[in-house]
Order: sequence, then structure tokens, then C-alpha cells
Amino acid sequence: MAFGHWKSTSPVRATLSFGRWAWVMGLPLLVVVVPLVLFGGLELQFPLIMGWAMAGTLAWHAFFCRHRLVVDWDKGTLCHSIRSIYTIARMEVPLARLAGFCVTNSVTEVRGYDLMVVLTDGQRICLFKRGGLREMEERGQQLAEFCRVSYARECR
Amino acid sequence: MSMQSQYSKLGKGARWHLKLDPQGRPYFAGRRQMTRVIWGLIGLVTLSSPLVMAFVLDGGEQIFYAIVSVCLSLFCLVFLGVRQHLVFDKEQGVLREMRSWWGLRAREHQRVPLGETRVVVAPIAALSEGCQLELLEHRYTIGSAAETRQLAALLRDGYGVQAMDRVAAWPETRPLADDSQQESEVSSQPSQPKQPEQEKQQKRPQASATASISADMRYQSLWDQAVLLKLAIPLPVLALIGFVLAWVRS
Repeated sequence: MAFGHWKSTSPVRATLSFGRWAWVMGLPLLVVVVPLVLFGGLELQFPLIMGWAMAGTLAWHAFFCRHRLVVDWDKGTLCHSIRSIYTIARMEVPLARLAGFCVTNSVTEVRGYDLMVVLTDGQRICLFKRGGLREMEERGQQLAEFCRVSYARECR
Repeated sequence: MSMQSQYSKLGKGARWHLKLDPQGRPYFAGRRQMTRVIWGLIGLVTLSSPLVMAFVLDGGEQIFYAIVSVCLSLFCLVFLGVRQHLVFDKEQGVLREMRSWWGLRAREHQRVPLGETRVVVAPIAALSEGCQLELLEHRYTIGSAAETRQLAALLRDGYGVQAMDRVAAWPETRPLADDSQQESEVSSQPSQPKQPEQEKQQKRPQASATASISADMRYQSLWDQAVLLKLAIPLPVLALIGFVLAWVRS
């Protein structure tokens, strides 16, 4: 069992998505957030309003936040993005520039492993941080196979 | 060209790790020396407080801290003195691993013929850029790929070690190309790639078209893009809405 949810409907497109069940956490938050507005519980008190706004933000991200990695051969890109209606972060690399995927020791965590994508010019980009060795290897091999590039382990 | 003038042309990271001994032979400090000396330095930091206590306090406490600081300084003395040098000895044609303690009890621990020694220019995979030089089981962070290749080429040309490169065609380890040959090799590579590579090239025709557009672009990992800050964008907006709603109600 590796992390994320791998879905490949056609041989040219695969998606690795995260937080598919986050909306479940949003439901109880919604119970707190919505009635306060509808039934006038929201009084002019700073802590109350900030608490309401925080719960609202959490609920927003629980419902709308999408963290995914998309490999698309039609567009010829590997796209790693976090969106929550608006774009939070996004990185798109042409598939032709990929040299491979590798798993390496995390800089900050002793038993943590990072999954990196290596480009043909030697540049390395971190995809996923601080995971277990086995799950990272599994995902790395899967991604490398789909992108038709090599996979290697660059551990100390 | 003499070793001295070549040495002075190396990058900063290379000169940090590769030193010249009094006879002008280059050497690397080994892994054992590095870890022991770091332990010694940590010991020095720890030593500072019992040392102050031993001077400031009196009575039984002073004796206690004096004993502690003597024990710690012995620990530092032992660990800071560990020396493990990998000396490139051209006359005898060997890489010699010399071990000593503060220069005392110097002895040869191991010797490898230079022709059988491999130095590998390898990526530091956990970082977005930067290369290291691998020699036996030791690794040295040198700097950019060009600086590391320069060092590897110097060791190959001057001392006859096998210089390899794992950056140019990652994950394959290939012999290091000469600076003058590098351009011609790059241009000749597409005509004679290995069999599996050729298949890969054929499998992705559209992808190569997009590649030429962004030949040497730098990419930023998602986790360096201030994700938490951008996740907090709805918070002030919702707070404002909350204030307006509450104000309208009251």
C-alpha cells in the first residue's frame, strides 16, 4: 500500500491524487460554520469571529483542496499542483526533460525518504517528502514506468 | 602544469576537501576523521559550561565540575586528534589510507592501486542542485557539476584514477568526458544511444517537441512555493465577511 490514490483510465493519462476523503472532515465543520451565520449566533466579538473564520477556512480546504500529480502524454507534461478553487502551488515539467525518478534520504528526517524527479540537465525536483522507503519506492517505480523513464535509489 | 597551479584553479568546495601535504601530494580527509572530529567539537561545546562552573563554584560542587571537565577534555583530546588521510601517492602508484592520532602513531591502514580506484561525480539527490565526489566509501560535497568534474578530471589526468560521471546520463555511470570532447560527445550521443534509450525516444514523439521550448528552465518544487501562506488566503476574507455580518446584525 502506497500513499495517494493512483488512477489511470487510459494509457496516456494517470493521476495520483491526495486527500480524497478530506471532505468528511469538512462536514462537522460545516455544522459549526453555517448555523452561526443563518441563525444570528455571530456576535461582534473578535475571538468568536476569528474562530468562525478559521473553521470556515478549514471547511473550505476540506471540500475544495486538491493535491494531485498528473502525467499527461497528450500534453506531454508532468503536472504537480495544489488547487483549492484558486491555485495554491503548481509545477509543470515537460516529460521529455525527465531523466528518471529517485528515492533519497530526507535532509531533515533520519528515517524519512524523499521522492525526487531528476531532469536531463541534472536538476532535481522534490515531489513528495518524508515518506517510508517502501511506499516511496513503490510510487517511484510506478511513476517511472508510466513516464517511461528510469528509476533508481540514491540513498546514503 | 604543476600540481600547485592546477590546485589553485579548483573551486572552493574542492579546495576545502582536497588538501596538499608538505610533500605536495593531495589528500582527502576520510569519513572516520570527519565524524570523530565533529564529535570532538560537540564535546568542546559541552565542555564550556563545566569549565566555567569549575572556576566559579567552590567546595564539593567545584570538585564535581572539575572532574567532569577533565573527563570531557580527555574525550575531546581523543576525538579531535583522529586523522585518516587518503593520500594520492604518484611515485608508488597507490592510494594510501594513512591513520594517525595528532600525527603520532602514523601507519598505513590500506592501499589501493590508483588504476583500480574510482572517483564518481554523483548528484546530491536530496538537493535540487550540487554534486559530490565519491571515492571508495567516502563522499565529498564539492559544489556545482562543473567544479566536481574539474576535480575528477584533475585526479584522472594527474594520478591515473578512473573518473566516472553519474550526472550527465543519470542513472547510468559513464566514464567522465574530457572538457574538449564534451561538446562533440553531446552532439554524437543521439546517433548512437543504447538500445533501451532508443526505444524510449521513439515512444515519445510529441513530448520532445515541447522540450525544445524550455531547454534550461529552472523548476521550483511545490514545497518551496509558500503553500501554507497561500492556504491562509481565505482566512482574512472570511474574517472580514464575519465582521460585516455581525456588524449588520447588531
